[in-house]
Amino acid sequence: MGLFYVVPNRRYQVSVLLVASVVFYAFSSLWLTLLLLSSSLFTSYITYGVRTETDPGKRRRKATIGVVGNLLVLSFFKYAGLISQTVAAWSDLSLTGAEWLLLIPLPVGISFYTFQGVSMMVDTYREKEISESSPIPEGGLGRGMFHGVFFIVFFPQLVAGPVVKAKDFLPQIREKFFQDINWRGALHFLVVGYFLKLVVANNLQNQTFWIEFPFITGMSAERCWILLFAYSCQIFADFAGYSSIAIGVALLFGYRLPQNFNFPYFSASIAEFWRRWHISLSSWLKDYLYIPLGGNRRGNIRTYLNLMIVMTLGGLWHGAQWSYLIWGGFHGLLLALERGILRRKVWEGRVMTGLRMTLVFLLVSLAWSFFKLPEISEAALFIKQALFSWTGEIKQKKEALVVAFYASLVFLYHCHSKVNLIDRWRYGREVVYGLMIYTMIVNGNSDDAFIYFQF
Amino acid sequence: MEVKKNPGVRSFVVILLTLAVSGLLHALAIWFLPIEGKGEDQETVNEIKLENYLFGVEATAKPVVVGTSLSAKSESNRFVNLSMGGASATTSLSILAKLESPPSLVLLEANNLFKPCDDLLVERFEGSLQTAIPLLQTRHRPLSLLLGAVSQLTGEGKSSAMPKPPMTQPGVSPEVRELRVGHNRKNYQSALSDDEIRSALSLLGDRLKKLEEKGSRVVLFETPIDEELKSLPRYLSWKEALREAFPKQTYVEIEVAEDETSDGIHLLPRGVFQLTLALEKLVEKFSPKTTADLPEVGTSQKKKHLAHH
Repeated sequence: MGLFYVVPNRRYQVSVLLVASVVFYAFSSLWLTLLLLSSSLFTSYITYGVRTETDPGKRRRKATIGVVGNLLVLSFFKYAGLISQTVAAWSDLSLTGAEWLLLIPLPVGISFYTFQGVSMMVDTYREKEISESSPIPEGGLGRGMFHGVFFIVFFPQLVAGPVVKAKDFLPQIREKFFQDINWRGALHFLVVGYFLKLVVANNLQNQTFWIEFPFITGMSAERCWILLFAYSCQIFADFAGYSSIAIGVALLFGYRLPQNFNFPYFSASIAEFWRRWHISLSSWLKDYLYIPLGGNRRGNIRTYLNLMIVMTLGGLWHGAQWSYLIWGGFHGLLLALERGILRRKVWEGRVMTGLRMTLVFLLVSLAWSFFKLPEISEAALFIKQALFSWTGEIKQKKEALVVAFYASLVFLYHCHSKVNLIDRWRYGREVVYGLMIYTMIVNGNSDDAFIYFQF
Repeated sequence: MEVKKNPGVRSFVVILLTLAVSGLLHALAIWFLPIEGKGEDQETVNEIKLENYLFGVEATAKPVVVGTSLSAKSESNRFVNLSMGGASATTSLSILAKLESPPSLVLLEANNLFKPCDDLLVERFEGSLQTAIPLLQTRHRPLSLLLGAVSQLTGEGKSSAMPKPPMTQPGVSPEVRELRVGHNRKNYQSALSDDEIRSALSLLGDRLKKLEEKGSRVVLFETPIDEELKSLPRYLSWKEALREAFPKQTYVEIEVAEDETSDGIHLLPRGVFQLTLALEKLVEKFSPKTTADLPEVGTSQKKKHLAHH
């Protein structure tokens, strides 16, 4: 950060960040860094071509090649193993000669940087805001590609998002000054992010560890639900924590990344949940998949179908396991069902909203089973027990108390969206930051990687 | 959230003051409230066991049992149990091997000694800030203290002086047990690789040597597991390699009733009770008989400090 701001010629600031980002990524794998660089260079080259091409047919062809090329790379690295395994299992073919497909390493962040690349090419093709504010055409091919690559590899968002859109990011590439840093914003996002990760997510991880075969066998419904609530809070704290840290770090370099979470567990419908959870992915899917498919403009049946397609593919985006597909499909089904149900007036009013929030939280939590247990039969066993194996008592009282303690922190965080108590005192915010930092020091757990790094 | 105004020096002073006041209140709670911290999960329970042994509460002259979740539930006033659920026995063994005055008798669970040692945890007890400053120790985490207070209020978690037979034996349905045993059967099907065995034996040899040089006697014991699992390659390959590498060590196989496990390897309460009695017998049999036989082990914490301190 020091080098970024003291570099004598501010034109080199982007170079400093670009090199730092590549070095940061190279720690995961040197070979996969080459893939990242090739992919981002290819995408930037195509984007430049699309931007400067005047023949509509050629523009369309270039954009298509770019999008298909990116998706093919993503499919190869992420889904080749799953497809070959499935084909072998269904057709009784042996995998002889294709075992190497299973050994292909998953490049860190490939799902995120592929989607960002696609957004850059599609936005340029559609000639949205990017065409007026983008620095790509001004400096010719070299500068255009340079900024394009920088947009894709910018390290705070590289490995786990938020999925930034080119039209939001590229206009921000300009000289940055130390005195312009939004310290208060950065402090807020960093403290909240690290608190959610170190105190809530990492400690809950040691509780949700038990949602694994064979520990789940014979589990009572009460324990299943306690652990599911724990996992709901863990995955929120883990991912929202990471996003918050990414936003805070980017602010230190003068860049604003989009908000990724907006108190999602206070949602009164599944549609609202998806407007508040992983917002950058939801909005990407809406802009580049749902709307091109026709959105809700082609009648009810087609709308339901579109929802199912988008959510199922969104589920599969998370990982090369059929359980992610089921998870996405389940959400798609809920979205389709509620479109019909929630139109009725009976669902309105304060009590009903509270009930809906509870129901949404329960359904979302239940669906996380497919996230935590990627083996479908294990997830099905767990859900069956959560629904039917009631015993009438909670045997693991300590576990319940610990989960309640950490879950209450997530609940309090959500309450802040409704009632802002801390800004009523002059230094309320600072006192809360102090308490959060102290809790991180004495009650934090720094052991674990972020859940979304695997996607 | 969008906040444009930048914080002034006062904001940072308030944050620092909050940190200082929190630290002070936390320290007062540790010193003045008679609360023994309790772990919230396997990991913290393990760490607290080690901290209590190395820095305080546990009597330091007693024999020590070192193992995994297979023997972690045995409680007796005749030994200190440093067995760690979800971790390798070599982790606590490595920590004991670094002590200036290790216990005179170490009962070492032999079943899973091939599992890799948690080097990070061992390093933590070699003089990290976390162990040097009481406020940062796991047993003093706010949540550990809260759980300790709840446990004291409800009277749970109080260990009795003598092990008692359990009043009830929680049942595991045959279907569930079969699923769990099946999972373990699958794991036990594959023999350990030469590399795994070599690396485990090398680490074990080093720790045994260090302990014995400092006057500790190490007795290896095996907790009972399902007869069927005993005939599978993983169990056999390890057992054979271990005995071949250290033929002079003492090995004891503990027996309990065959159906006392929930999954083929983890004992149910009645089995734990039988295991505890068996461990007590081992303590009686292998403990030094005269005070002259005892190595210099006192209650002073200094004696327990790690060798390189």
